[in-house]
Parts: sequence; structure tokens; C-alpha cells
Amino acid sequence: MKKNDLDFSIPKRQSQAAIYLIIYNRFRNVISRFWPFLLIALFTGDLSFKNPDGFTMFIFGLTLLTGVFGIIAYFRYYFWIEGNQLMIKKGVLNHALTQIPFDRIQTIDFEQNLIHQFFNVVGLKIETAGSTQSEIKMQALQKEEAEALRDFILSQKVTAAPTEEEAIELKNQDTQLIYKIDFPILLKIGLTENHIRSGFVILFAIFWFVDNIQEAGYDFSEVGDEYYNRILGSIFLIGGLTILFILISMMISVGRIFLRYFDLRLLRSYNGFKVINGLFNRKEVAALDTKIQILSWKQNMIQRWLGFHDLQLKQASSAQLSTKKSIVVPGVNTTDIEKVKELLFPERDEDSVEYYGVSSHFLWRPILIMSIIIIPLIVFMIIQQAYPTLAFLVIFYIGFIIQRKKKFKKTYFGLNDQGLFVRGGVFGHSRWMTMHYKIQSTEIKQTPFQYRKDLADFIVHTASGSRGIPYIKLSEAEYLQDYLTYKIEISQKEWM
Amino acid sequence: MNPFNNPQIFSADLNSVSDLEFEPLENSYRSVLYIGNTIFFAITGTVALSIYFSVKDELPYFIQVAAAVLFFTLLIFSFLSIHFGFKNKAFAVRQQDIFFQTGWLWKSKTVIPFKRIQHSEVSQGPIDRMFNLGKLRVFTAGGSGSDLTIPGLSFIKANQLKDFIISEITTGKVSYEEE
Repeated sequence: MKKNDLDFSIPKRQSQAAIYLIIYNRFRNVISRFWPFLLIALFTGDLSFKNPDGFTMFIFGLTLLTGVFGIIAYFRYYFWIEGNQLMIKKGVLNHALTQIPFDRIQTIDFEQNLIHQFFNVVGLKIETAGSTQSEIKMQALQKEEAEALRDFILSQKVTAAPTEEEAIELKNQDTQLIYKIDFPILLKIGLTENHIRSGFVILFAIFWFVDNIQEAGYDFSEVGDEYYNRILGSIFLIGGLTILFILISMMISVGRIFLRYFDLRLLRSYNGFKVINGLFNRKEVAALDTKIQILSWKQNMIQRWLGFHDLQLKQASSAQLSTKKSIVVPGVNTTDIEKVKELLFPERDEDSVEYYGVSSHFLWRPILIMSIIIIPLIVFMIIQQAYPTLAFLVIFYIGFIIQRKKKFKKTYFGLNDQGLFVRGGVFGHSRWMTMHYKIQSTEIKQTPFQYRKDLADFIVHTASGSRGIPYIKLSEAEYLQDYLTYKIEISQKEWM
Repeated sequence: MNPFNNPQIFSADLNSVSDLEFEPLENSYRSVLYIGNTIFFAITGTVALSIYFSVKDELPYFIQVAAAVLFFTLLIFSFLSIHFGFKNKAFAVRQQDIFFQTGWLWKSKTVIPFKRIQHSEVSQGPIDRMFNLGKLRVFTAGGSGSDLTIPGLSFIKANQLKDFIISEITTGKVSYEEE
């Protein structure tokens, strides 16, 4: 290999093997999208090259076009290194110049499929902490070249992000047990899975069924006792089935919970958390403190009665981490949560947090919109005398109003000079917290209605998901944006 | 640097977003949007018409009318939102962050501190090229929802902005105390 090949300061193209890979990929793409049609065409003998029909022509045209585009794209794709950055210039119709500072590069992965191997090249995947959309892919580079590029970038990185090795190291450290699931809690978790929803669906099915019987001519007021009893019987049958169904679904979830969460332990090492769980299949998820962006916990109505929560430690979700995901700890009580909070965000100072509610329009606006939709429907059902459906609609409408009311009463956001705290929930509770320095960016959004009323939604983006605070005063949202942006900018701490 | 240096800040001292003077996009970007929109509706219109002529005998009259009304409503709305929404598209760059606001009826205003930018990109579509415009994109770790795209900048300005941002994120770990 010429020395010149390893000089990355001049713009260069990928290996020419990339052309074959591009053609192969495009071809595979088209085939995978249209294979059912192709199969049909093949079997019916429609796929004739002498007399192609419109569709065949279309597919072949498309393949050809994308192939040509791919090849042009290859010739227009250049990469080079300028200072401490990787530069990429590309695009056929849409030209783009991308600049990636080495410091922000998280991982550089090689991939090698059969075609890669044949040409002795590798595909390159360069990930920053951003979304999958923002990762850089190169089709094919000479293996030596790719290794040189990777080594160069990694050697030039000033700050090293926590690496896989550190996470592995975490696994072998001395740990301290924070929480261990016990049998009664396991049982409670299994029993309190959300069965209400399935019950509701079945309830709707009953109303629908009765309604259809009426339409089919069985009017309850006119049919004789015998028919009446028979229908009543079938209602009882359905009711019984509902209960049976809920029972079965409970048993299934108890079993599933046992398999999944058996002997769950939350462990603490000096710079991270680790959770181990599972009966046959022991699963272990580790997270360094620096990677955890959000702490949240919630309980539904029944969990509230029984006094336990589901706790979640959300990790930065770059593509590299997506398989490991967040740490989920079910069945914890408030003392456990306090312990985790103290370890993860010792600076949070929750006593100084001031909480603010949201505008009452958050309650009335959805109710108004729902009313506009549902009241005409209710009137229509009254005229049609479809009482079971009517009953369902009314129950649904009242339920909706109660739900909105509960939700409005429980939605709060709180702020102090360390973190942002959001409370929510409908029949239960949910809590969400992050520290200012973990926030990536903030956004103020306004619908036309909110604009008229000087209201806004405020959205906080972190590396492990976004959280909105709905219907607050525009001035509050602007203050939050100013303040949080300022706090991010002065913070000395890295978010990861 | 002293990690415990944490002077109190009074809210009145914060630079307020509402006082920020936003810079408009290049006027020619309006034409880019109009041309793009026209092309889009020309293509969808042609496809819709060809579908219409092949199935019109089987379609009830009111569906035909509804489809036409829907099509023209979308068409008119998209042009109106370009026309009235254009003046709301604006950006602002401060020493440590970048703002972009957009939207005609549904408005939004996003801010990204330079510190949180992972990488950035300037791109130029075929219509942009006719008007010598560029599009600046900055990526954060917050997922696609928190990425920022500022279209309709002159190509030179887009590149200058990108260079400025990149130089800030690579060299500058500037904090307020140091100024």
C-alpha cells in the first residue's frame, strides 16, 4: 500500500469495492420491497422480458435509477481530516458537508459481510452520542486504511468518553446491595399489572354485542320472556367470560413477572448501578452514573394502595447503548427511591424545590374538544334509541372528564438551582427528575390556541428522552428556557 | 478552575430569550419554498389525477368531491403557511448558544447550547443551489427531536456559522466566569 493512501488530510473516496456494495445493496433493497410481486409475476409467467408490462418496467426502471444514483453518490463522497475533525462531503442532488469533532466520536465499528471479505474491505460505522439518524456510515474502505483512520481518530481524542471497558470493569467491582425483590412483592407486581384496560375492552365488546342484537331485531321491550332470558343469559355468559379472561391474564402476568424479575437485585458500585434479574435467564444491566440522564418512578392506583413503585434509571440512548437500555426496578418503596436519589443526584436539594401547576386550560381544552366530538354522537344515539352504545358513550365521556381532572390536578413542575422535577399521573403518581447539566436542549411550543392565551408547552430534551411540561404561561416557559440554558452553559460537569 | 465556584445569579440578570433580536432567513428562501411546494403538488396532483381517471366510475360522487376539497385545502394551506409563516422563521446566535424559531399557526422555539452540539452539517438541495442558499444542521445527543435545522441561510453564512460553532465546541470550554 502506498504511503499516500494513509494520508487523510486530502479528500479521498472510499475503496472502489464500495460500488459493488452499493449496487448489491440497492438491488437487495428493491427485491426485498417488491419480492411478493416478483414471485407472483414469476409464477404466473407474467415476467416476460420480451413483452414487459408496466409494473415490471417500473421495477426495473427503479432498480436502474437507484443503482445509477448510488454510483454517482459514490463518486461524490469524499472524506478527509482537517485539524481535529473528520469531514465528509457527499450528495448527488442534495450536497452536504458534515463536520465531526473527534472529541464527540463515541465508537468506530467495522463490519464485514461476505462481499466485504471478498474485496478485503470493511464497512465503517462512526457513532456520535446523537440519534441513529446522525451516525456516519461508509460502505467500504481498505482494511489497512480503516484501521489507520480509527487509530488516528482515537489517538487524537482529547477527552475519552466512558468506554465499554469501564462498563465491564463496573461489573467486577465491589458492590453493595441496595434493593432485593422479595416474594410478596413479586406476587403483588404480577397481580397489579394493568388488567383494567383489558376489562374495559371486553366491556365495550358487550355493549357492542347487545347493540347488534337489537339491530338484528331482538328488541328487549318486545321479545317474550323466553328470548329475554336467553339474551340475559348470554350477557351473564359474557360477563363470566370477562372475569375468567381477567383471571387468566392475571395468572399469565404473575408467571411472566416471576420469570422476569425473580431474585432481582439492585447493586451499587462506586460509580454506577447494576441490576440482575431473571429465573432461568439471568439478565444483568449496568449503568455508569454519568450515563444515567433521568431518574423516574411511578405507581398506578393499585400500586399506590399497596405502597410500591416502578423505578427507572434511564441511560443515554445512543445506538451503541440501545441493547442495554435502562435499568428498571419494580416494587421499590419510598425509602429505596430515596437511597437511589441520594447516590445518583446527591446535589438535588429537593427541599428547596418550588412546584408550579399548569394552566386550567390544560383541563378544559381537551374536554371542550372531546365534547364537540362526543355530544353530537350522544344526541345521535338518543335519536337512534341505541341505548347500550349511548350508555357506553356516556360512561366514556364521564371517564374522560374525570381522567383529565385527575391529570390536571397532578401535573406540576418544580425547579431549583440544581434540577428540574416533573410530577404527573392520573389515578396514580409519576415523578421525573433530571439535573440541569444533563439537559441537551430546550424547546417552547405553542398551538394557535396557546398563542392566543399566552400559554406554551415547554419541552426538555435529554440524551435519554424528552419530557414536556404542558400549558404553562409563556413567560414561565421563557424563563425556564433562559434559566436552563444558562445553567447548562455555566455547568462544569459533563452530561456524560 | 474551582468546581465550587457557584455565584448566585438573579433572574433579572439572565439574558432573556424574549429580548433576543432574531435574524430573518434570506428572502430568496421564500422562493425556494414556493418552488418546492409547487413541484410537490404538481407531482402528487398528477398521481392523484391519474388514479382518479382510472377509478372514477367506481367512486361515489361525494368521495370525489371530498378528495378534491381535501387536495385543494392542503394546497392552499401549504402556500398560506409558507406566505405567513416565513417571517416567523428566524434564528439567533449568542456567544454560547443558537436559537431557531419557526411555525405559522403552530410555533416553536428551540435553543441548543454549543456545549451540547455533537456535530454539524451544511447541506444544499438542488433548488437551494439555484439561489445559492444552504441549510445548517446541528446534532445533539438528545435524539432527532432536539436537533436543529436552520434552512434558508446564504451558503457562505451557513458555512461561517458552522465553522464558528465547531470552533466553539472544540476549543472553547468557555464559561461566564472567564470573560
